[in-house]
Amino acid sequence: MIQKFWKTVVASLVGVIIATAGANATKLGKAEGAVLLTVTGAVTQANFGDAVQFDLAMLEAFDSTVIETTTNWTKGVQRFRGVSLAVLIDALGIRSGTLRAAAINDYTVEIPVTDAVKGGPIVAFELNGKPMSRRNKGPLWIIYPYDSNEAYKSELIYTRSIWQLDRIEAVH
Amino acid sequence: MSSSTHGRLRAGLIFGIIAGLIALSIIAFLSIRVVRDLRLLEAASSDNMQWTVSQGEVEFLGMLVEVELARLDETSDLSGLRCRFDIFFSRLATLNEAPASSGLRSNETYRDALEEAQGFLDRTVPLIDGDDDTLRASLAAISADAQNIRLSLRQLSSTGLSQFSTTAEERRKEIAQTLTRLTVAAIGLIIALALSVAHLIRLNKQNALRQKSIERTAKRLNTIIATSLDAVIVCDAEGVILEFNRAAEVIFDRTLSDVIGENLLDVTCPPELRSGLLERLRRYRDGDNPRFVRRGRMQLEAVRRNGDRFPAEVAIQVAHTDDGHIFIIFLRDVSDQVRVETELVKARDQALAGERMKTDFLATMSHEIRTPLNGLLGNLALLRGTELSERQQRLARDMQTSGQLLMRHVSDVLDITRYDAGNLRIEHVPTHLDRLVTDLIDSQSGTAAAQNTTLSWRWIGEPMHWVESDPDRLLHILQNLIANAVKFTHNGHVSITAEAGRTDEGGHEVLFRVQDTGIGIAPELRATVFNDFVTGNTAYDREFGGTGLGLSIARRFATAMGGDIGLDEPDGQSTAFWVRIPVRPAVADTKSATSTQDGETTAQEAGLNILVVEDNEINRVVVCEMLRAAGHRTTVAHDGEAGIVLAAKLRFDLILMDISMPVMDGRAATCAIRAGGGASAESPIVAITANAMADEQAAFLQDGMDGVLTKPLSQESLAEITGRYSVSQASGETKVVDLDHRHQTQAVLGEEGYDKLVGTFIAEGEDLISQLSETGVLSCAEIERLCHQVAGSAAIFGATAMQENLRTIQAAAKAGDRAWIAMQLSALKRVWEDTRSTLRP
Repeated sequence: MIQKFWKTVVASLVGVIIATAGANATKLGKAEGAVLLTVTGAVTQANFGDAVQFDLAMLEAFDSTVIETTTNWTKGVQRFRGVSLAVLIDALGIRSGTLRAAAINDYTVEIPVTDAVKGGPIVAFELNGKPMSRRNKGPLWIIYPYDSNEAYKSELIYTRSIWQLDRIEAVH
Repeated sequence: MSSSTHGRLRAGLIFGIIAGLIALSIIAFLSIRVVRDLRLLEAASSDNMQWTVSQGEVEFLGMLVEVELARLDETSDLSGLRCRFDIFFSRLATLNEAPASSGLRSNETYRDALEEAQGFLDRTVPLIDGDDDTLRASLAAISADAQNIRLSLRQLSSTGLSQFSTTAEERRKEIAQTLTRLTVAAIGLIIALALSVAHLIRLNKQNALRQKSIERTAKRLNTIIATSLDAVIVCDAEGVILEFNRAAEVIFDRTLSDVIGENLLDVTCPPELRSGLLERLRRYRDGDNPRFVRRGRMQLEAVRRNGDRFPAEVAIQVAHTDDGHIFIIFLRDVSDQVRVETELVKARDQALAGERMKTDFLATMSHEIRTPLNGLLGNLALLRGTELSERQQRLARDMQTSGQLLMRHVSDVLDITRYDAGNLRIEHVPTHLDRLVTDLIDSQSGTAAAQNTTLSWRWIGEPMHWVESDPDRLLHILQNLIANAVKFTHNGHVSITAEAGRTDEGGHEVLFRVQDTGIGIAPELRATVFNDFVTGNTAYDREFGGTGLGLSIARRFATAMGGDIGLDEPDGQSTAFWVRIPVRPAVADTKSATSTQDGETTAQEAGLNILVVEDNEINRVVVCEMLRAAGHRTTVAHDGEAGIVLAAKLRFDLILMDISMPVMDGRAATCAIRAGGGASAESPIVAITANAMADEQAAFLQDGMDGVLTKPLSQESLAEITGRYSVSQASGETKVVDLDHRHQTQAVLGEEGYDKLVGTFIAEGEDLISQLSETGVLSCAEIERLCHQVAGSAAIFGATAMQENLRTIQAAAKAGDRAWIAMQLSALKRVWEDTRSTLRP
């Protein structure tokens, strides 16, 4: 009983500290250019109503991550650059639950927040040094580092590798 | 358990293991395949291409809807159409590029459909990318175009679907197959495992059985060891005690718990023996002393807890175990046994010593009695040779008879003593049986005639005149039997028969039977008649004399000769004794048959020069008188030393040497005479002894004696001996002087001339001897010349021995061999002495 009590106390304290850290995160500005991504749901800040809208510049403002990998849908090794999903949700104060990601054609997948780790998926906005067009599965594409981690070569992960991404809803 | 069963078990086990291993590797292989297949399924590199392909059609329809909507509403925003187009475009690009659909792309129908769709995109992209008006104007054409390729898109979907279902079917089949194999392999493994388990169970059962049997054996062994009366101790190679049974506890007065782990030697050995035993153990361990164990029982001294020592019989065995050698010691306390043995040995030694003492006493006594008796009889014989009155003559004869009887009794006792001491040696010499028996009958005929009894003898069956036997013993036996028969028979008849036959072993034997018609033997005496000191009628015996030893001696002799003696069942009037003696047939020995007669005559013809060495005065006198009576010359010496001195100076034809004398005994004196090289060094020497056992006689001969005379000395035995040496002298190879030649010379020269010449010859010889005696005075050439000259003179007087010796020296001088000359000189001197004394006595 005492142990459980202490566990609860410690968990609560950690939660408070992390929440405080999230509140102190950089304030996002308004999307100036074309809106590429709209995040809704359980976010800690917003720049457009209850939502957060990102243009390319805002995404570029994050520390970007590069993944070089082959994919199931392209020929040869591709060089993706984007913002780590972990960094992105951290900035939005999303700590748990599921991300409901949707594409332009309304294809929707659920990505658990636990997927968003360092060395995990990125929200790619650049392929082989060029922005991705809609015909080339752009403008945003969630890419996992399939080649560097065998665990990512699974059907489930492939379904989460959503392209032509334009919306994310954080749900608990 | 037999080795073949063992081999079978092992083979079964190996088979099980191999089968299990094979099944395991198959399972491992299949498992890898299954895992791989599962991973393939999991990896889903296809990203469910079926979805992708069908999505192509979906997006196409989406785009088509946008196209139709735009055609209906001319004011509409065309961005929706453009977006849908782009989405469709990206879908088709994926279908074109995706590696997962490369298999699909090899399908011709699919490829054609894809090209159709791509053609549509290629045609439409410029319109979509153009301005709104152009696009709007082209909408109808795009719609128519799209309607045209709609079938192609459907084709893409359905081809993809069928392709994917085929692939999925194959994959499923593959997996099913792998799983089936896996199942089979698993069943195989289970069977192998089951077999192995069954095998192990069997092994286990066998082991349990074996274990039980080992336990039973061990229990039995333990019982044996525990109940053993001998101590059983087991120790390791270092001597540390491992086992100590109950008997060991009792013997050593120790308890098992005290001694376990102690050193064996500390517990059981006396301190002074430990180092020695330890050394032997060590040498055994090093392989130097393999006989230390397994050499049977040893007797060692052991010690109890309280320090008491006891003799122990110990056997050591070694066993080789995994922990090295162990020694098993079996030990028995033999204190009682040793004590009893010691007592027995002591008792036996005492008994033997007593027996020997008795024998020695009897032998000595007999000897001591015989010596003076010998003197007495000798003197009586001499006395009867002098002039005596008739009465004196009768008294002397009676004295002689009594003396002879006494001598026989003493001899009997001595014979028994010798026989019982095992010193009786049986001779095997050619013997004329007829003569032996005839002589006996002759000697008894006087007595028989006096009792009006007749004596007769004959052969039954084929006679066997000559045999090899011991005549003295045989004579003794027969004399006893015949004398007894005569003694107890008055007015009757004594008959003697001899019968040649065969022994059971196939050898020859002669059976003598002496039968009389005398008084017979009392039935109660029949069984004991051959025992010592048994006499018949005491009063009667007293009349005739008799120790009661006669028949017992006869029995002893007969037994010693390998024969038998006995008494026939009484048959009316007669009593019959028989004796059966094994013999060997022999050829006639003419020499021994004639020697006695010849000996006497020879002795009387040529008187010998005899030296008598004897300490006993009476014996000395008797011997000398007897010899003189036979015509010999005698010189006497009182002891051995005096004898040596005389023998060195003078040359005797014969020396009679008493054996036991004070100062120096006869044997030593004989050796000295033979070694001294004096005048009589080569003369025959005959021992005179009262105590001559056969082995002693051999020793005398070894000392250099030529014969043995046994006391009492008789004139006959003396005559025999002197006769022998007269003969040998007469036929000797080198005569000192050829008497015939001398006589001839004497006759030619006349007495006076002969004397003169002899004087010259003697002077010549003396001169030569003295010159030769001083070494280096004469040269070899002069020696040769002088020897030649003196040899010439010697020839004149028939001094052949001298002549011979001088020739030898002459040859040596010619050869220049001074050593040889020196060697011959002593012989020359001896011969010269003889020659001189012969020429001028």
